[in-house]
Amino acid sequence: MDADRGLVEAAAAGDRDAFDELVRRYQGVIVGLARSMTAGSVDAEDIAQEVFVRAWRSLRGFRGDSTFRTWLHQIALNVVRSHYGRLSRLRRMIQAPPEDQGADSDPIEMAADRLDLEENVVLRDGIDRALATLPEDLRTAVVLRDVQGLDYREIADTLGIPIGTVESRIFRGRQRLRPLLEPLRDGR
Amino acid sequence: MLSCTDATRLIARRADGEALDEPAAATLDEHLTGCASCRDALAAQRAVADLLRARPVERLSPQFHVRLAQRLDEQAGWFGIADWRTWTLRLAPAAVALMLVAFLSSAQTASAPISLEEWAVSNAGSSSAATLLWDEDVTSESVVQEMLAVDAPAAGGAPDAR
Repeated sequence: MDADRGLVEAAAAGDRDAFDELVRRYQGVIVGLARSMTAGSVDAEDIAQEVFVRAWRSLRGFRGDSTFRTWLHQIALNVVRSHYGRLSRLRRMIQAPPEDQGADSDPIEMAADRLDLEENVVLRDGIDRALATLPEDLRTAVVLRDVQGLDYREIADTLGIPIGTVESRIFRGRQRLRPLLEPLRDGR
Repeated sequence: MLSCTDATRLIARRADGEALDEPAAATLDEHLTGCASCRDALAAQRAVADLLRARPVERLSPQFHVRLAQRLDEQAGWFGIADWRTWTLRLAPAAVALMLVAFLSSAQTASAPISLEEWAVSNAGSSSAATLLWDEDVTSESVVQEMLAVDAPAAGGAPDAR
């Protein structure tokens, strides 16, 4: 039973408040997916907004064959794929380093908890950079499982692949990440 | 007997803390008992999974919701244009009105029919030449003569009344 079903039905009928509630439920998840799939790209929030705009436009066509969460992740992965190529080319052109998430925040508020923020940024950046070294198929499977928290069945449905393939990709992805993440693990 | 290759899939699940069904769990446990390499692999998988799950959650910028609301509001304007169902519903009353007007117009026309000749006469203006066209005995010469008679009143010739 899809926990979002009631909200999805209302939103599909044009209820904007219902859709806003769905956004609140998934905004962090989708921004996190965008960042972890694009090595901490500064455009993660723009990507997430594009995901929600597409979902809003397409909601009437959502038949409920999968959960809303699975459907939203499918949209997100498509948006990430279409944007990531452009982002990589743009970054190479302008040589801009990734900015951290708090760039738009009030600088006074940032200073108040700067230590925690810096630790979190270092850890998140390190994880995202390690993930970026994986081939896309392994990175997607690992991110959906370990960062997004989808179960194996949901991942299989999202990607349209057998569960056995999901298991294999997750194993191989984690295996490759192990040496890259050890410094982060030791530093905690 | 489980091979190391087949064990990797079960190891990935075991590292997640996912409960395997009894036969699979028993098979994996038996394999791990005799394979140090796979025991190391399980430990490594758990470590990586734990670290990834500890990835700090994003803090959204204060402008995130404002920008998203603006983009969704823009969709409301374009939504109606892009959605064929909206077009169908919005145009239906206009279509019905047009059909009604067409029907009433044709009904009104049917109640007071006029011949094409009458219509031509009523629309021919002062040109009697135009009315000649409906004369059964009309010739091109007679039409030209009529036209010349109208164009040259100073010559003294009054147009023949027909």
